[in-house]
Amino acid sequence: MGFPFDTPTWDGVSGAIFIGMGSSAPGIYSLIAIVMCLAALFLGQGKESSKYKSHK
Amino acid sequence: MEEQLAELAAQVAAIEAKGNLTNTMFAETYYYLSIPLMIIIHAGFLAYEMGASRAKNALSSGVKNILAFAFVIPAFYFFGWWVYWAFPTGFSLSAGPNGISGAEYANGFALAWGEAALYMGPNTEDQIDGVFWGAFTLFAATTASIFSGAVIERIQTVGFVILAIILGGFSWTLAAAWGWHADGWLVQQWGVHDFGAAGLVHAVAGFFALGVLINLGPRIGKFNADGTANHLAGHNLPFTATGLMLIVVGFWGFLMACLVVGGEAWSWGGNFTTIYGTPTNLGALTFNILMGVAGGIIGAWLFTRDPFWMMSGALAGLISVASGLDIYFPSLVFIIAMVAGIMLKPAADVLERMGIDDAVGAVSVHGTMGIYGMLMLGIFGSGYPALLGEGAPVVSFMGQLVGIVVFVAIGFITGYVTSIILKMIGMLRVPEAAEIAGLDTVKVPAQAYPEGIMASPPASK
Repeated sequence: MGFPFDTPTWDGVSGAIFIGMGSSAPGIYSLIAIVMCLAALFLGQGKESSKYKSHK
Repeated sequence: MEEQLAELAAQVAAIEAKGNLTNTMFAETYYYLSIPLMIIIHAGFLAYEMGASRAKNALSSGVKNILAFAFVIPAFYFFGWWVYWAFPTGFSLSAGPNGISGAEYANGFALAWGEAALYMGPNTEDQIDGVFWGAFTLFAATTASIFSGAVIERIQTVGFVILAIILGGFSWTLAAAWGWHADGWLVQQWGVHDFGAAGLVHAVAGFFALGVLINLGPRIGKFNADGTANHLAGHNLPFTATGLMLIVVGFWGFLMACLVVGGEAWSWGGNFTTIYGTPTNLGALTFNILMGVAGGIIGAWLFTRDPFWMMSGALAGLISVASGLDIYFPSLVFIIAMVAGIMLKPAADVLERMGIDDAVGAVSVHGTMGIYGMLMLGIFGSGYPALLGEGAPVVSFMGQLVGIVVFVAIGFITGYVTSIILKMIGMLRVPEAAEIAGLDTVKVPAQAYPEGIMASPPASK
């Protein structure tokens, strides 16, 4: 990703400083994180259903 | 002389800059510290729910509670925060009179993508959005924990998590946008005043729980064929009572975060105010929180003598006065809270006679007392300006009534509709065999008490 400022030091740097700032990366990370949350729920439901089935 | 004046002016400017920085750091630290205090609420709810469950369900109740906390956080990051800032004027998503609301405003800083993302992550020039978001996220997680206890021992985990996301990410947030935000239509048009969130957090969560409970149904064995109820005692009352006390501790953080720190660009003035900009301070909260908790405990003790209901009474007392913690006199707080404590158990009994199995009394403690608290402020606080400034709407009984009707409707409708959808797709209730066997045995790969709960042997002489 690289340091997103013109200077190689922190001197004079202010504002947003996170990795990927000013690019499309935060949006991509957010989309992936949302998909991971949904996937966790989906997989969790599958596991839970199988546990219930095995206890019938 | 001119040189001396210039030097003096420079020194004054430097002192002022230092003072401003100190104030900014204080404000940031203030909200930052409210967050771990509010997490104590969740430690309390965790202990409370696990203790209130029968031993066969203790861990599954804990898993459910922990997951609610974990899933509400990203939900509030990805859309809840945006809802709070976009919806104050209603579903039009237009800007309100203060110019700090509406979709366009929210799009500028409350989304985790695009230009707004600059304010949703580390930013050296923004020392407030992160901690504000954090405090609101914990308010959101609190609503989920309130709801969580009511449905223990028979709800599916993922179905529950989806409900928690809806409640924490949308339902209460919509209520807060309308009744807490200075541009909120309930505040602007009706003078709704709910400083400590008796209605917009507690009543919303309580009636959300009621909407879910109707579709979820009672635990097996709760009701007899003739409709009479059985008491399904939790396995660890001391754990439950301690959890309830931890919730009271955590509410100091919750109520602390309801204040707006003064002296910043986003503040209402130079000192602490309520979220509506009206005057208050930590002293006001201290008087009234303590008197409210005490009144609730004593009121509940009078007719129950039961530590579960006494500690629930502490919460009921606090909730009953939360709307007006900023302006009540402590003796009046004590009276209102003690009446809340007295009413609590009968309110829970009424619900039980209606065939609703609320395992921990969440609907009564948070829902019924939320209504009572909102209306009490409508009676005693009538005529007080609801906002800062000339021509502000005033608190009235009718305004509080409209506010609580809206809050109850938001909670109940979203809870009922979401849960009936989950029921239709088979994601709401666990199968009968699993409920009878115990949910820990069915789906938790750990044991709460692998060696049982044994009496300690006496020390040798």
